[in-house]
Amino acid sequence: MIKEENLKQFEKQIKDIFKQIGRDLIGQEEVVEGAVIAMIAGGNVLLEGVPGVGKTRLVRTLGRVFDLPFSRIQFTPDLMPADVTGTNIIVKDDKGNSKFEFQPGPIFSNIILADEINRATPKTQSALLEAMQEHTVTVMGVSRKLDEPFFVLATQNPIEQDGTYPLPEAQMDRFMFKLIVTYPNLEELGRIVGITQVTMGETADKVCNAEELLLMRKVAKEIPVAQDVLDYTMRLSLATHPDSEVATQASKKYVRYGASPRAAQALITAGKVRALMDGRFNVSYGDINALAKTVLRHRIRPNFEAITEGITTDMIIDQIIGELGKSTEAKLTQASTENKESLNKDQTEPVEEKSKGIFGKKNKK
Amino acid sequence: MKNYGLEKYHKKLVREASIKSVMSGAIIGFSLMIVLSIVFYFMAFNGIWISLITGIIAAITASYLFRKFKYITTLKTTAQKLDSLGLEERVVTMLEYGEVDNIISQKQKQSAQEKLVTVSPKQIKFTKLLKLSVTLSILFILAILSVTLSTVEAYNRENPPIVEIPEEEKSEEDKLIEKLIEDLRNIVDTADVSQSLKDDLHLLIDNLEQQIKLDDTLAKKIARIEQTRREILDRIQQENAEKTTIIDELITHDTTSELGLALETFDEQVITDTINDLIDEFLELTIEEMKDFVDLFEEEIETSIEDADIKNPSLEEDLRALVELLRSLIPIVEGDIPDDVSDEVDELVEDIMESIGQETPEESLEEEIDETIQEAIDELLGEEEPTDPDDPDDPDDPDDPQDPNDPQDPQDPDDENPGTGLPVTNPTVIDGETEFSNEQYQQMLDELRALYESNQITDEALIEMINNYMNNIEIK
Repeated sequence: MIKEENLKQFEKQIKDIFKQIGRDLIGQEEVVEGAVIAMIAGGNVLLEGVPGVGKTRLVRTLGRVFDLPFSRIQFTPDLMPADVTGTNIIVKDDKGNSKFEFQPGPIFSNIILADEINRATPKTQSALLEAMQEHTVTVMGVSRKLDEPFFVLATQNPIEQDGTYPLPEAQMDRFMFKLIVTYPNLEELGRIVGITQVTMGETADKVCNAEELLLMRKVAKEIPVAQDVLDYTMRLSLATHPDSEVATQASKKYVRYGASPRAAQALITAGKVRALMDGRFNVSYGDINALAKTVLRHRIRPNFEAITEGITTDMIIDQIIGELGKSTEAKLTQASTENKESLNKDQTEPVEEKSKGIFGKKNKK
Repeated sequence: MKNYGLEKYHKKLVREASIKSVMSGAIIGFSLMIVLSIVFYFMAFNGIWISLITGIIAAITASYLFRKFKYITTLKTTAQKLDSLGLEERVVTMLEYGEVDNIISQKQKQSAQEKLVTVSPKQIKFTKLLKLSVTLSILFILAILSVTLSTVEAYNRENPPIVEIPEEEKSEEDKLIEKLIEDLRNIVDTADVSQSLKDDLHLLIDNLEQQIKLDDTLAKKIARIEQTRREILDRIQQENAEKTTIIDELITHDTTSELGLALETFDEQVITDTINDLIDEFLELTIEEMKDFVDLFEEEIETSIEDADIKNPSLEEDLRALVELLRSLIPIVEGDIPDDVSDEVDELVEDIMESIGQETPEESLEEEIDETIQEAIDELLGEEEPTDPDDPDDPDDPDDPQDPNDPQDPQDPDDENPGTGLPVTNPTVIDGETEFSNEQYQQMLDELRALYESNQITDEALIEMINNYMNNIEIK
């Protein structure tokens, strides 16, 4: 049962988390926010950025702030699955008899930094699949549960593609967010350089422990979501599919494959955390729209036309939100009939026929 | 579902929905009116009431349907509208989870209500109202225009507009012609003829009005009016000639035929003798025969009076007096000698002569019209009267070139008006085609105008004016 003090504690801890992370990491507010939201929501994060922009430092800082054990796995082409999950090795007991004993791999930790994940072979990459989704590891037919909270934070370099193995869709889908870590701007770079001259150490303090993090997750899950917002989230997720009944012009034109149902789940789960972080006790369309890019960008596979025209998935998502925003008002009006049939019927109507609505205005802002 | 203080916002949205429904309904109504008006316009059907009533019914029905199925207002739509004002879905969430008993839902409700108080109902703006208003205004104007045009078109086709020249724009000539035609209509209206003849004669005048428009000179117009006037008088006279008098009727009966024949002579002596003979023959009868005769005589006189088309009250009284005279001669006892009634007979005949004098046909209207006028009319209209080669008075008869009584004969040295009635040799003077421009014409026109302005112009005056003019025409 959630109590008022839990809410107050959540509010306080969130402030502290950002404060402490800010001590070690300059700039990258959106990445930090995304990573924190994902940690509280229980999702994994794929960080994409060039070397030296603070990806590893972010993971280490998160581990310290949440007081969680942290493992770093440097993915290379010769890395084997057993190197990740661990394996059974022959050991001698006290009596000198040999026996197989499971030697846990680095995945048995709370926070995993899968550095340059796209450099490992698909076989090794897939070793993470079970751990990321079910939070279990199966070796030699024996499933072992990972400690909660479990959080994979993978990085990949977008510019060095030689000798890399792009992550398969199944792997990508297991990341709640894909965060783009950009170069710091001049001011942020100045601050980074200033800190470096003073001290190279990481100074972030612990804010909460694993139990408190799980409690925060539990609190966030209680945030109510209105049916209208749920409907919108489902439509947004489904609209990324060019063949769906609510497909938008953008998805029809530029998308090859759309997002999976995990995307809608991620949007709602992360939306709840974001709303609570914002001091609200309900999820708004704004929360969903704000999280849409981080949730959907790695789940949408653009088609050849989009690639040749230089259309990124972020652009496609923006267009989809814009088009769906137009349909929002019509949907709201229709929903007012409190007639489920008419609502469902309305949802099947092509979105281009809808008029401009509140979402369109919001998105414009 | 609790309203959570949304009532005031809800009322405003209900008002907005009602206004929009009415406006949308009115748009449908006006559109229908326009469509119907266009259809009626091409059908030339005066369907203004159908358009209006159909439009109103359609507007009311459409308003109701819009309100019921399109502009629906519920608490949820109200909540959605409020959320669109920046409440970030707090209100819709509150409506759904307000009753859930946990701390987060309660916090959510509290947060929503705190935000709600910052929103005034005035902040809820009517959407799309301007668009509807503009559309409605345009359709309203178009509907009025189309209904008006359709109605006017239908009315004009049913009642072709009579283009009346405003009084001030009418020329003196037009006024004169108008007055002459009006006089013709008065003649017809006051004539004692059947209604069918009056209708025919009015039709004749209508035709005259149409023909006059084609005439280019006043003289031709006047001539044509005069010709029509003559025709009208002829036909009136013709119908009157066909009517029977009391005398005609008396002749048709046995006991009164001799008296009728006598009256027809208009000879006082003949009438006196006939009455005396009648009395003498009457006195030779027996009393019973006298009574029978008087009764029959009286009956036939009454029948004659009744059957006569032209009444003559004076003659009627005289004839009844004759009956009474005969009745007074019947003796009470056979063999009584009646009084001498010769004085009474003389007196009665005198009265009869006065009475039948009234019945004398009026002077023929044909005679009223001078032959010269007729010829002038024919000349003006370019018509040629059929000539009778045996008519010694025919001025066109080449076999009779030296008629001393012919005032139109140029060879006649006594003829003061040598041009009258002769074929016109100089078309610049009068040829029935070109404009009159000589002094005589101008003088006649001036006089006609003066007469017209003084309201003294009559048919006789007109005839006289034309006559004088024709007599003064100089043939070169």
